[in-house]
Amino acid sequence: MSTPDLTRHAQRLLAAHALGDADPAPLAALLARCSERRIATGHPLFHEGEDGGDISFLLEGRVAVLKKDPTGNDRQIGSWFAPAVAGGLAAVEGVRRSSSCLAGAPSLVVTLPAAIAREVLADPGPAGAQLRFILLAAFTEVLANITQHLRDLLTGPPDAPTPDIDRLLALLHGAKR
Amino acid sequence: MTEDPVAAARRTIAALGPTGWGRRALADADIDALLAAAPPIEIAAGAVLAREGEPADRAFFLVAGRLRASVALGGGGAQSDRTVNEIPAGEVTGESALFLTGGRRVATLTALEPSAALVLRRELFLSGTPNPALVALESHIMTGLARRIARTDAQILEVWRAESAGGGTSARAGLLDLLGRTS
Repeated sequence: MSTPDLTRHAQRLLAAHALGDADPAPLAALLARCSERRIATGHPLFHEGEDGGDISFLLEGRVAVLKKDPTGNDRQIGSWFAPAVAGGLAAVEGVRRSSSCLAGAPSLVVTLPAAIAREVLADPGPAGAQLRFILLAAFTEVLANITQHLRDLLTGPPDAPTPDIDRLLALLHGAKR
Repeated sequence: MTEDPVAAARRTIAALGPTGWGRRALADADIDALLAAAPPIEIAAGAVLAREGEPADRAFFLVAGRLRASVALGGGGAQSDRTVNEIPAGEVTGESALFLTGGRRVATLTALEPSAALVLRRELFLSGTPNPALVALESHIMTGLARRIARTDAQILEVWRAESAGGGTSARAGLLDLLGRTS
């Protein structure tokens, strides 16, 4: 990817995570260390239950987010639209993927391997600070959205309907429906 | 609270070092720099630290004591104020003020006992000044958020399985439990 493209993608990622005024150079340099994949519609990015650890950035396109229902069948709970971080939770917690992701449109994804992700996350320098802020903003937004949704349900009429599981899961995974 | 708030803050920040990604002890100078940027405050028992609905402009890293998070659910009497979570020393609360913009408090924070907290503002995380103590704090917040998301995910799946099996707890009780996990 060219330097102007990396800079443009870095700017979009930063702006999507409340860092619109930040210098894109550190994140652009980090994106340059990632492996790049162009994914055709329907092809997987990762599967629920796989080992996590690496962090992917969806730079172009859209991915469908799927979750196994109680009978073990995949159910689409929403989509991520570029620019977005994919798999950040597994990278931080070192846990298995909590959802599956398939390209919902031709997509461009770059992936930071687990070992480099851990090194960058521990780095006090500007690239580490930007990556941490992006993940913190993404996690905080997820929790803020689901908390607000729950508050709305709780402060609604006493006979409010049973919570919509798909909606809760979409909010929790940062997916749009 | 018998311990000096600064001493409590130093002890709590120092404990973050070996658990953060750096896995190393923090230097006194790093801790001092963080304390200079976010000095600890004392909170009397019963004092309200933040009120639901107010603009969220700061978060709190509790270094001593205990806080209660409550929400107003409408109506009068006991129904009007429900505890959704208790925050022990060592935890950060109100993170949306740091990493999102324009948000409002979703819960009221009240000290259950004499407490002390570092007041964290968004600018601290945008300063660009490299500080391992701040990295350790960010790592601590990130891990806490990730665990809350994972726990909430597990809780939703539990409700989903219970519903699929035709059982489960009442919707409202389940929501309150979930709210406690996300607040």
